[in-house]
Amino acid sequence: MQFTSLSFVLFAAVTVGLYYLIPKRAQWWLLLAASYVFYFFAGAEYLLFILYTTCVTYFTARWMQSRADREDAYVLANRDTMEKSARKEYRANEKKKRFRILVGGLLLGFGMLAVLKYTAFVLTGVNGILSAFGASGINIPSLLLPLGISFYTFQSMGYLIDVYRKKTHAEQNFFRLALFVSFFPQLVQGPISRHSSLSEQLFSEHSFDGFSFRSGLARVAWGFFKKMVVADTAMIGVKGLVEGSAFTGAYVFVLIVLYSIEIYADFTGGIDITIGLSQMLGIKLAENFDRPFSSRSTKEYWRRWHITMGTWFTDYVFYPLSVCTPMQRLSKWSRAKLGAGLGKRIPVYLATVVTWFLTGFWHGAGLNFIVWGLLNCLVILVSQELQPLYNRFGAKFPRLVASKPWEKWQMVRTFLLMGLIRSLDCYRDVGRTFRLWGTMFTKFNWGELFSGGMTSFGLTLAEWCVIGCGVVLMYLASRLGQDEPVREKLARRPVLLCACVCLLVLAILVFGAYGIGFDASAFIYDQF
Amino acid sequence: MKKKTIIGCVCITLATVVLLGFLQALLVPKYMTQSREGALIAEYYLEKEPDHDVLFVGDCEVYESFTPPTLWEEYGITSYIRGSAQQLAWHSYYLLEETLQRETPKIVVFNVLSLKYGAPQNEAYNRMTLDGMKWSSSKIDAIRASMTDEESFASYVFPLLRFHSRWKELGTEDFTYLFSRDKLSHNGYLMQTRVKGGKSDIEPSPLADYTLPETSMAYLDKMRALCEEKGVTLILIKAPTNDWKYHWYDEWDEQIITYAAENGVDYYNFIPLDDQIGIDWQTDTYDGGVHLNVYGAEKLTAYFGAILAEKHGLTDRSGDAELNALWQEKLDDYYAERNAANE
Amino acid sequence: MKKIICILLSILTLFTFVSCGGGEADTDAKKYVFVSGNVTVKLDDPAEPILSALGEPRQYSESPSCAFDGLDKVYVYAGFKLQTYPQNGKDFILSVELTDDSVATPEGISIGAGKDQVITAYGTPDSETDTSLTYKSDASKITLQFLLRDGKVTNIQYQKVTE
Repeated sequence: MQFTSLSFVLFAAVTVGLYYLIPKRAQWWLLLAASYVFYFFAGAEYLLFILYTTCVTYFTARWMQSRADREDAYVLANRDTMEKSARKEYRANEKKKRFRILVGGLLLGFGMLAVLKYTAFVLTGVNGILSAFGASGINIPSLLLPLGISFYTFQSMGYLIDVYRKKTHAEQNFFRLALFVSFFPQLVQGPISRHSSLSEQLFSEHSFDGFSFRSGLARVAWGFFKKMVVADTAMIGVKGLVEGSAFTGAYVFVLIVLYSIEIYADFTGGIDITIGLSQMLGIKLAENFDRPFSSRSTKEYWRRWHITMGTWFTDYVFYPLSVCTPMQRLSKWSRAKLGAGLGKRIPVYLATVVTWFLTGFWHGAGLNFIVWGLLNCLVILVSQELQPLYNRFGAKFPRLVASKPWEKWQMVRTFLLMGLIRSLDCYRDVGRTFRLWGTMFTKFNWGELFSGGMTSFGLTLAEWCVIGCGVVLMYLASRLGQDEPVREKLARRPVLLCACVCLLVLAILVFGAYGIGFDASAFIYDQF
Repeated sequence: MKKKTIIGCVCITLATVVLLGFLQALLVPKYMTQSREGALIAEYYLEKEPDHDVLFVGDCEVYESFTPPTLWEEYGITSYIRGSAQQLAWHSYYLLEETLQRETPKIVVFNVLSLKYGAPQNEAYNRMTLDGMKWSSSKIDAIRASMTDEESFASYVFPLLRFHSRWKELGTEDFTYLFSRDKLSHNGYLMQTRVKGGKSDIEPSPLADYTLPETSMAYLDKMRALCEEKGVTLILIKAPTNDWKYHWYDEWDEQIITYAAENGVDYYNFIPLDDQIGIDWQTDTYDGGVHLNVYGAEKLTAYFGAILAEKHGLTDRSGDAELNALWQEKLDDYYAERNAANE
Repeated sequence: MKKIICILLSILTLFTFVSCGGGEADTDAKKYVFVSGNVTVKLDDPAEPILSALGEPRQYSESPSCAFDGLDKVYVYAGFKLQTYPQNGKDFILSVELTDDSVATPEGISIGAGKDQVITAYGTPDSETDTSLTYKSDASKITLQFLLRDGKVTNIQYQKVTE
């Protein structure tokens, strides 16, 4: 059951309807049942995998929690007799034990993800080495990749780390945890939620709130519009550009822009459906985007794009990696040997590289994703290094740097740079991508685009118009919603909101790139 | 919520529904000037109190090969053709089922070519057959039996879901025929007056397996059983063609002969009878031997009419004044179109 | 313990970089094409360049489809027959049929070859009946079928799967 299918719309409508009809204390049970029904339709065999993750998460967290509770009780009971140093030692000892449990849980949880997602990739590499030595390769098994596995694994493992860090309390009720892992609106493409903020909302009782219901509904409709009208139409062109071998030079530039539009509309559209639907259920999920294309630097872009993934990697990879003992030792060593300037940087840079490497790898088992992650990292580190230069430039031309055009230039630059790196995601083959980037400098010719070129890769003029209108609408919505989202402004005027939703539905039904003649396309982020 | 708000929202929603209905009417293909075969199925419902001696069902080989006006003119036999482009065995079965709810002819004639297909072939042909049907349990079953993997039932209920992207190719036809259609056929016969002769001498490709698919043969059997139940005589035919693409293999023919013999059904294969019928492949086909044109169809109809009258005992009803008046009108239309092409 | 994580991460990192150098697995193992002289006939390819390279056919015929524009075309050459189908105003190769033993598949099979020879050249077929051996291309877009009588090949057909 895809988000953009009629059956999902019906399913969601029935779920929301029932949600407010049944007794409030049963609401979360309904969500659990709905989530499992939803996942069942994605693939009955997938249920085993999500149950596995749920069990691993539940028991690991319970185990850590019971140790932590015992630890606290022990300390409390021996408050008077225990010396401060003894207490500290005891706590440290206990923490070590809990850490071992955590590592076990993480290995089990990430292990499944690693096996399912990365076996083929790793074995392909191994076979490459084997064949280099003349040995015969290993058969690559075809493993199924359960829908949304990267997302629910990350959310569950984040929860385990939070329990370990005592940032949240382990869930006692297995079914509650099962809902936390499987909550259907966010199951397939995030956002990656934190237990501390989501659980409270999932399990509290919700009365119907007209305002948030309307606002959620408008957001869902807007999400469908972005996905089905803009993203799926743009996809036709992206596909054509990627599949044709003749689309070099200026066409690569078109691809960069078009794919940026597609992925923005696709991913933010999907998240709008997720968050809007949750809002209709009275549940507020974390935002995943904050007008990313208005970012003026790569670093800023990554604070605004796929926010929950970024913070996940920061909190659970970058931060612990930066402060772990070996890293601190490295820091000490490098400072002593290489001086304060370089010495200070090495551990931070190492942690950044690892984080970005893993971010890339999380997106997919492929060299292109790794290169994508590392290139992002490179851009961030280089611009960090060049910061003093920028500062000097800023001091020299303060009026220029503070001007609007300069700001716009920075936005365009960031947009294009991110788009360029993102095109690795389209072309998939790293070598081909680099070669095509090269053609932008050697064979760039605007002329060919406007002598029929723009309609030579699958998009008709009419479809370009649809994309254009969609982009204008998305821009306006973003501009008008700077202080308060448009949907909330509308939610206060129900008749106007109703009209807008009806118009969106009409636009989706007529202009949506769905049905025969269009390849049914899953959300891009479902695959990660 | 205030009453005013509720009324406002209801009005807007209703307006949207009306607008959607309008858009749907605008966007569905009209089949009036292009792919006219798509208009055939729906035309049957224009018949007031349908009462036909003979009902033809099948694919292009019925709606291009038999002319009901000729059958009336020469033998006083009333007939209707429920055929459409690449109408498969299950389409034909459900159309027959539906038609037999409305009238009981004496004879049902089924053309066997489509029995070679055991699975849905092409979504476009599905639409041309199914969209024209009025809603009934037969239509629902027909849709279920016909859908290719890419299709959805919902798109038959709301054709907008299928044809929405036609906004890019709307033409004057879509506006002209927004709410009404012209009548294109003569009791289901789609007239072709062009002459493009030809006799293909390309050797047809041999097949690995000549067994007619079980699925289609099962629907043939259902048609036979249904006719038996309703007391209607079923006749199987194979229209004459002369083309490498739609070659009718002897091995298939033998299977139909066996089926007909085992079930006491008459089967006429007109392919080897073309000389006897008088078909001249230089003048009696409009597309180089795939289909007959009106001149060929008239010859075949005359030939088959004699069989119907002599062997199957259909009587001449031209003495019936009311029928005569009705058919005179049809004949006038028929000759108007036929003569217009000759001028 | 934190060391373990660090080590694990480094191993993972190393491993993937190693695997990057490995190259890609050969996934193009089963693609069936017919070659006539120096012309390669690949199904689903645009017909125009192939037809002009093959030259004047011995026989030609065209056939319309019910209700739709465009013609299916057949071209007969010495030893083989080629069919095309129309799409968006252009013709594409639909099928190739080998009709006598003057031509052979690139794998060396021609009409009259024994069933064993086919299996030696092409491996185990994807499906087999008394009268045929059928091979499917990887994406199942093309079938290569050998028709048999008395254990000998009587006809060879490359066909695009239309469903």
